[in-house]
Amino acid sequence: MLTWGGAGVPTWAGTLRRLLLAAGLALLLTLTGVPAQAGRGGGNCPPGQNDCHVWDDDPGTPGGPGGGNPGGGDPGAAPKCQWNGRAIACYDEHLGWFNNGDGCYYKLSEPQPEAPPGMKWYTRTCNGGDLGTLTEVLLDSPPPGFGTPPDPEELARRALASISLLPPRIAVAPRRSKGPGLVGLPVWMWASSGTSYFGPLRASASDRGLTVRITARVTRIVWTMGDGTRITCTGPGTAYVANGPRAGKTSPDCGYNGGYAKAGTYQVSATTYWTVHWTTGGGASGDIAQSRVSGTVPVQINELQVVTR
Amino acid sequence: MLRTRHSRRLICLLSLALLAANTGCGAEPEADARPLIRAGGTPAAHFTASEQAAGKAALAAYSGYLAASRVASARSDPGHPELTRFLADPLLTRVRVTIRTAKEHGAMRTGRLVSDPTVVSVDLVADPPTVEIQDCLDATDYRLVYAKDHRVVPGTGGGRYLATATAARYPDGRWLINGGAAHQDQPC
Repeated sequence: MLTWGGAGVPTWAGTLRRLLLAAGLALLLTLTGVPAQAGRGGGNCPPGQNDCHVWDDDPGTPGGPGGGNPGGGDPGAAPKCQWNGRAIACYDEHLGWFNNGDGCYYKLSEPQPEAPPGMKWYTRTCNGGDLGTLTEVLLDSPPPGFGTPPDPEELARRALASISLLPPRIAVAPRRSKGPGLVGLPVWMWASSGTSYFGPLRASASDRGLTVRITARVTRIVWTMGDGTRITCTGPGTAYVANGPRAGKTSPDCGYNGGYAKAGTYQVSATTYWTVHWTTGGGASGDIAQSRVSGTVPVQINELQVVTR
Repeated sequence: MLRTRHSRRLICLLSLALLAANTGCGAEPEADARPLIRAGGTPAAHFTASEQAAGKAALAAYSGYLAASRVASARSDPGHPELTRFLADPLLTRVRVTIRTAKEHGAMRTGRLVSDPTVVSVDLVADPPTVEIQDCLDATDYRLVYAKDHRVVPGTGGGRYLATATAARYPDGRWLINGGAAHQDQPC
């Protein structure tokens, strides 16, 4: 017999009840543990700053922590400060210096509370700048990266993040929509011109008195013809005009002049290689390489005899 | 039966004790004030003269903070110098970044914020000495709006809710607000 609260309940029923209560207690503890942790994760808004989490779902803005250089960069030019695989500002005006070792920003606490000799209070923000992790820590020496002067290359990357280097918009002749091309005949390739696609684009960024100016321009565009051939051009190329003076001839500046050797459908794409040159007022300078890849455009090539039949 | 009741009581007591310990160790400074808030009353009567002076200085810092936060938020200026007169880290950094985030989204705060703070506890033995403050902040007319057209940011709203703050005494003798939270889940 198993009755709840009966006077003659055997002891194992009491044990069961105790177990259930204990389970309830464990659940209670688990549940009450959550808000405390959630409070740490998200963090409450300060008094008078209600609804401060309304932006939480928005992506980070360039310039602050969370901003960074756009993708498509040269892997050799890895940013100095990274969190979870993405570029992050090494210094933030309000959060301080980033420590690559633990993913936290550190600043000296303002003002300094009383501290033992040789030690200082730091305000630490972890998870790459998550305010929910904001806390005070007492350290006997500054964490790695602390106090580093502004890095012109990081500023150059910040400036770079404020402009858009667009991937090339490409076209080819023969165009499949207008009919196939022929084996061995010249192919023309061109891309939309304009500063967004080829530069020059200019921007600047400043931090603690240091200003870095950048100029971004495309130094070459490399065409992948789909048959293993790569052709490098230095400019956007020339659009093919079917009734123009060069109709049926080779492109004056960007073409696959020998044409395809075999019939088939080929996927053509292009990559623009940007050089972002940065300078400081103090005479320092450098380059950051970037590249952008276009979509693909199909080219259909037929054998000559198909046309001559 | 009797034994069962006893054990149930014991478990309940134990769970309460554990609950208190759990919230105690997981809590941030501002959350410590919660049980005192529920106790209500006017604790000022039990304070000594030096505790009352500390409480007064802490309340002055708190109202100074709210005023400075209002001005800095209305001007979208996270570096507003008034903030450092009344605030200390980590709350100082939190307030600055909050204002900056709103600014980055083209928003600012406008309107009237009504505050009615009270001191809930004073601890002059602690290092540093601290004062806990609670407030029923009336933000009914205090709104987060877009700077360009003063349209209220969707998903935000005023109202009266509990706010808690901690003031601490710094080596130069100033009382500054170094912790605080708006408890928008707790209307008042």
